[in-house]
Amino acid sequence: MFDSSTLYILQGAAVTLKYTFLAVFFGAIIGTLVAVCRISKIGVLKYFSIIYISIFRGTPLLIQLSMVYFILPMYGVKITIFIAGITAFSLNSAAYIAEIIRSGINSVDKGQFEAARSLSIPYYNSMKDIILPQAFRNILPALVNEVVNLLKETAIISVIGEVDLMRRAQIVSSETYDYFTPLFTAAIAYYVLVVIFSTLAKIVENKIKLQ
Amino acid sequence: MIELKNIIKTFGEKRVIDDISLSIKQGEVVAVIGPSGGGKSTFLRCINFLTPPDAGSIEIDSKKVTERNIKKVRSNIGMVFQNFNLFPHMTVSENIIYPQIKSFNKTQKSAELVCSDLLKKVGLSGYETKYPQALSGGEKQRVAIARSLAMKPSIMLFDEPTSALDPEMVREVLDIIRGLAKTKITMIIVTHEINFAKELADRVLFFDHGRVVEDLPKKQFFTSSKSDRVKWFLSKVL
Repeated sequence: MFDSSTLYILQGAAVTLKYTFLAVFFGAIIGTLVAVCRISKIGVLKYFSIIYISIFRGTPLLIQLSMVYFILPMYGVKITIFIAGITAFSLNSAAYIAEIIRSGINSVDKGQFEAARSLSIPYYNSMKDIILPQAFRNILPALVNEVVNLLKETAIISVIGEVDLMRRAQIVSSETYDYFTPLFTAAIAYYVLVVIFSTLAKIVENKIKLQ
Repeated sequence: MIELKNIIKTFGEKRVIDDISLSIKQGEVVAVIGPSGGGKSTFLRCINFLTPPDAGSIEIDSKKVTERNIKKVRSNIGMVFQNFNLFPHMTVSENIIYPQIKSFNKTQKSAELVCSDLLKKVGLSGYETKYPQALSGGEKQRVAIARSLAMKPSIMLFDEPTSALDPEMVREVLDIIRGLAKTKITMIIVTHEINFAKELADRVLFFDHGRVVEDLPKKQFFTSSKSDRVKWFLSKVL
């Protein structure tokens, strides 16, 4: 069905997905922690998270990735493309996810906090069982958006030599002097991945809403 | 026994509670009425520190309420909100059972018993597995009352419990509150239902501009208040 170079490009989808999901996974963990720090009343935690979010959202992902990959080895830290990619993408994504989660917590009706307090429910329990589940419903679309963005932005990993969708398209182009087909193939592959993911997310969203 | 001394609460420039001192006896049913923005709700929320006062002291059963012991104090004070504030992602029975388990370390079984007992009391047996969004406003408020009662509080605070309800649902909620008034529970009810206050309360507080303008036993309040402000208000609403 596909010729060999098309197939070669499409195999890059696995690489792209690997980076996307690992980065989202670690990004979500770090992001939740940063979000909880962000709404904390403890000054150090709060300002740490404000600075963290500000820096990672305020500088290009390409620079963040390059710093991790090129600067750390200068100080003797050996780092593979894979680790550098996951590190940079996770840290970057965490900043966005933290802001999404924070807005989700803020979107929960103030009355829910008050009801929990008036019923003497401990802070940890009310966060975990009452506030965050409601926040999650509200932020699901924004989280999906973040995953979709990340999926496309992982194309940057091609700059430090990973053979993902993007890089494979470039390799084929430079060998065949045909830019049209390879780039189009890669673009369609990204697009299909995004559509599949968005559709799955929509189904989950509707399911949650029905409850 | 609730004892408030010189309570003050300011929001920005506005003094919402302006030096209020009063005491409420165990088992007393107190209606709090007055114009909107007069400080009624804030007064109520100061008592369980949902809105901590800026100055003054609150004693409940001779113990001073502070930020430090507030969790313990709150476990003795039920609160019913205008907007119910049920947990929307939990069923009716989960709403009533969850706080009992997390706040009072009850077993699932004993919490369930309390739950079905209370649902019966508020006339909602058989509603256990429904979600709040499937209930009418009146039903939601009755669940919210049951949820508060599950703590076995000795004080109940009602913050305009019928204000968000359709008129035909007001009665079912008032009937529940009426039933509670006969028990030993101390009740403070912020309400716009003047006739309800007239029927139920032992005592009526009239709030305006953050002050208690009038504080009288029910009978005197409605028949012989000397305050022009109260007379004017009553002439408008009765």
